[in-house]
Amino acid sequence: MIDNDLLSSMQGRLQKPTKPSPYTSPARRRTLIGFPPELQGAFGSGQTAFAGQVSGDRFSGNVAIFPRSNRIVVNQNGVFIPQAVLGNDVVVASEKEPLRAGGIRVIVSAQPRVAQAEAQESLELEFKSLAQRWRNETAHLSIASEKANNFAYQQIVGMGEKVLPIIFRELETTTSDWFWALRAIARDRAPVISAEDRGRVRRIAEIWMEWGRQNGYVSG
Amino acid sequence: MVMSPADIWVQHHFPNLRNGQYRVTSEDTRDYNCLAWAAGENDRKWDPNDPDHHWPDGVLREQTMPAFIAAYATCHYVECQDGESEEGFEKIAIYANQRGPQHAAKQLNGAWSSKLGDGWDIEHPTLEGIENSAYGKAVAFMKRPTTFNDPKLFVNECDYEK
Repeated sequence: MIDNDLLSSMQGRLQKPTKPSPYTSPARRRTLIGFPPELQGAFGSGQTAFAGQVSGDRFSGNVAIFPRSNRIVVNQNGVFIPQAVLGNDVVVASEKEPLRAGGIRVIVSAQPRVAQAEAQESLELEFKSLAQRWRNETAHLSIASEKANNFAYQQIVGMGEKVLPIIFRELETTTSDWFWALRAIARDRAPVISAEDRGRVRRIAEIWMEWGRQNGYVSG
Repeated sequence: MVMSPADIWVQHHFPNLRNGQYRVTSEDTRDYNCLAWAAGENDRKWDPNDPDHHWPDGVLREQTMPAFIAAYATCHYVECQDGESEEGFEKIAIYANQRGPQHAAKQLNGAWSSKLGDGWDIEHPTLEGIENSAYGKAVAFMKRPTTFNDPKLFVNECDYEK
């Protein structure tokens, strides 16, 4: 016995996009616009369940989905990403009108390394902004704890371990008082500064840079 | 008249110096701070709170006036009444606000000399010149015979290095 409600639901899920994409129209079936030639042959048009443009909060670009091989390819801002990820931590074309491919809601996330690079760039911009604000507000102070008792500096410390590579890059060019932040983040992993070296900021910077290299926060 | 970056910075942070009554006497540097400068050092930072910075052995690491006075006592300074110039003595002044000591200046050539944070050393004729909300006011004074600053008589100025 057929459950009419279930059938109706399945028909709804299997519904193709009401407006056929030019990528999948019969006349252009063999051409995925925005993707390199090698892809056209590699997948073939017949396997393409959906291709078109999507846009969301974190992603916009051309998308092609190949359900048989469970693959998705995206072309974001001219950058071809061969192995994007279908996952949960993602962007939807539109919550109100999600794209559908073969009845599957299309959720698109750029490749993790691209997302990571963007996140790192964003973190670096935020760091630079906070660091500049901290310098403007505390450069005339002498006692480290007074300089660290600054909202911008505390936000940098609050970024935690992920900000360490950025602080180390900063430490290569300046001897600003980053030691307090480094110690606050590294906690019991922090290097010991000998009595002889205490207060000698260039030497302390060297010691921290060496620690950063040994712990993988400094490249090269 | 075009102001130098140093003058713009100094007058921004120290409004009492907008009368121009000061002189920049060094490049800006982060190699030392005011607390070290007042103790006669220009190659490391003194700081009671930061474990990475120097603080005299045997002195409490705390941002209090007794700890600061004990720290400078290791350099043969003793407490005195005021910052008036005295023949045969050199003096330091310790500034404090409601959070405790924040800055130290030393008497040099009849005027006061201060290292301003990460910035420049300046000579300022009055103690009031660098008073502000961050530094507070000069509230404690110490002095020692100028002979302690004579390298022919003393190799090291401060006890903790002997």
